[in-house]
Amino acid sequence: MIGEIFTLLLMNPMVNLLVLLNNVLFDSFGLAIIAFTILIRLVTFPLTLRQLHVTRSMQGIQPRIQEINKKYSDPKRRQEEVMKLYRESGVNPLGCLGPMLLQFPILIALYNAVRIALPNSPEALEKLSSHLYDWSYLQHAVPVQEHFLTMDLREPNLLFVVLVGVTTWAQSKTTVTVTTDERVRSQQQMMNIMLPLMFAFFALQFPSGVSLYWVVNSIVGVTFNILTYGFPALRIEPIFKVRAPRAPAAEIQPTTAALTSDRELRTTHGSGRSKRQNRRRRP
Amino acid sequence: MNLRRAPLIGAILLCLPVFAACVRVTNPDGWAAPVIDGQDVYVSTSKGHISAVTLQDGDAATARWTFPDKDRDPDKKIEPEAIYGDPVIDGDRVYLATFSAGVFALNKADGRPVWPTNGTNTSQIKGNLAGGVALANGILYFGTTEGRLYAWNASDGSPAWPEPKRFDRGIWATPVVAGDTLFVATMGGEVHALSLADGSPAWIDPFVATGAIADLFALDDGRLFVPSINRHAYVLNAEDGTILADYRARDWVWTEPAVTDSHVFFGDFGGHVYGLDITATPASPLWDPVSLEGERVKAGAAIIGDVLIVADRKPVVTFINATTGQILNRVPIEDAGTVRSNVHVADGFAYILTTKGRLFRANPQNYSVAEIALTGVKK
Repeated sequence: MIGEIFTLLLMNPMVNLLVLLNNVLFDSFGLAIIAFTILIRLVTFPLTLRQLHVTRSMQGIQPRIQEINKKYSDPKRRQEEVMKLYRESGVNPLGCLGPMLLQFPILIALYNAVRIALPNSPEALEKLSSHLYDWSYLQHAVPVQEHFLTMDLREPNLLFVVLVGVTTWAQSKTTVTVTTDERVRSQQQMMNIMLPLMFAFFALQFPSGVSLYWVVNSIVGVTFNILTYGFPALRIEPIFKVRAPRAPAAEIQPTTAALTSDRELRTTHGSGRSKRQNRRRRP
Repeated sequence: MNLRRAPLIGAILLCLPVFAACVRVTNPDGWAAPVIDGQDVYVSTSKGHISAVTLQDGDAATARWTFPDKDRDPDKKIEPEAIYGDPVIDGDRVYLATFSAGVFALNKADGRPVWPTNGTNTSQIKGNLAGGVALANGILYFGTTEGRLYAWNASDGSPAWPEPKRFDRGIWATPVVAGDTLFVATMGGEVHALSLADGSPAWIDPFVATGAIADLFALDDGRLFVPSINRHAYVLNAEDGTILADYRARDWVWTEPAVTDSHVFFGDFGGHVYGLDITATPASPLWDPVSLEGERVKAGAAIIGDVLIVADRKPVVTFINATTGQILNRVPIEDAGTVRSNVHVADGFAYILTTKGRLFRANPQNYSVAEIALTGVKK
């Protein structure tokens, strides 16, 4: 039942939009994938922005959380103080989950739509028939042209394996790290290496059409991150100004306020800063 | 390595196969129809394997051989994946086009390759084979998904043309030979006619439809049946490519028709079965389309006497009165996968092969379906 609703409301419209874009964009399915990915990411940008804002707010109050962790040894009291800080700062720790959960099915549908619209076997084309709307403009377009820039979009491609790895890594690097906990931070650093490797491994088996989607998706993600957080290494200021978390009324510290400024909010490894420098700054 | 990271790395490694399974695409299954030659039936069972089974008394058949044979070392490297075109039986040979392992000439007696003698011939072929081979004058013709049309000598598998002919879009339909002309359909919606003698164009212009043409059939020496996924079914004059009949169905048509002198019968992907009188232009329906409760029809129908036999995706075998369009009986087949292979007629029965490699025999006399138990088939 849920699967049928998912197919009817999300996947089928996306499959048809892909085929429509293919027709509009000179029968090039590669261009259709690029346009489609950018379009969907733009439509869901408000959700992405909200998620980025919440993440950034969380980053801002991390020094205070660390102070609380040091100050209180009783876990219950510690939790109470942290929750109090969240309340006073106007930050909802689960706030980034909502937009993320909303985007997740969209991303899955997007990924499936690319796979379905690009049949790699006669059976897959047969299956596509059940997803296409009864509109001759769409029906006449299938099967779509499989080649893009001399590549067969149905087959894995080594260039895309590399691009998937690089763009996933770039997205990780431009994503803000919420925690200041050393152990979690080191795990995240490891994930920054593991995730690109993992997705590059998947790309070895993906049709390159799916990899193309992933690469464009990651590039758009990197762009959003830079627009929101800026990129100090290249002296790029954020375009979307984010409100800093509200300062707790009584316990606001000057150091905390300073840490929430745009300049000090930094990406995972701190763009332009070494890991050692990051450690030194921590109270 | 930091030991604290071990659980995380372990979790990621465990996730790898799960993610890999998630990204699996629809794999080729194949839909070659069973081909009957005397007491022998050639069936494509799984992953592009073909078996020769001998029909015994009653409802049983025993495999004589399977190719590729997993118990033979030379065959272990051959991975055909699927067979879409019906095998061609000629003399003591079986000619076979596989989706990804090339073309084979097998010895009918033992199923061993006459050629290629060492593995496959995929290095000579650009693209996959989503159709079968056509045999004429000792030459095998086949097309590929990369839009190449090949002509090979059936005797030894050597090329009969210096270069394959190139087309703009892929060739999925098995080429058709009628008279002294070879007909080729492309997924770009074109049908080309080529002279068998020298490969030169036999029509002034190719026939062009607005949708892909994934199948092509000769009704006789003078007419072609052209189903298209633009929901049309055309009957063309084989002489010059002009349209003799054009019928718009309710959904994609991608199937072989059952044919009598003046009528054709076929199903569509929306689960409708049509009967057309093709003696006039436009073709006139014999009756209102018969509904199969929305179940897709990919398998070509069969007609025996006045009974039309259609197998749908569910799969259900439906017996229809070809004169009136009345449903005579519907027989569901349980736990057998689906049916995409064309229904094959022999000795007054219709033979139906499912995607799980099970073979059934439909009896038009009493509208019943019985399974033929296959034994000894290697999968």
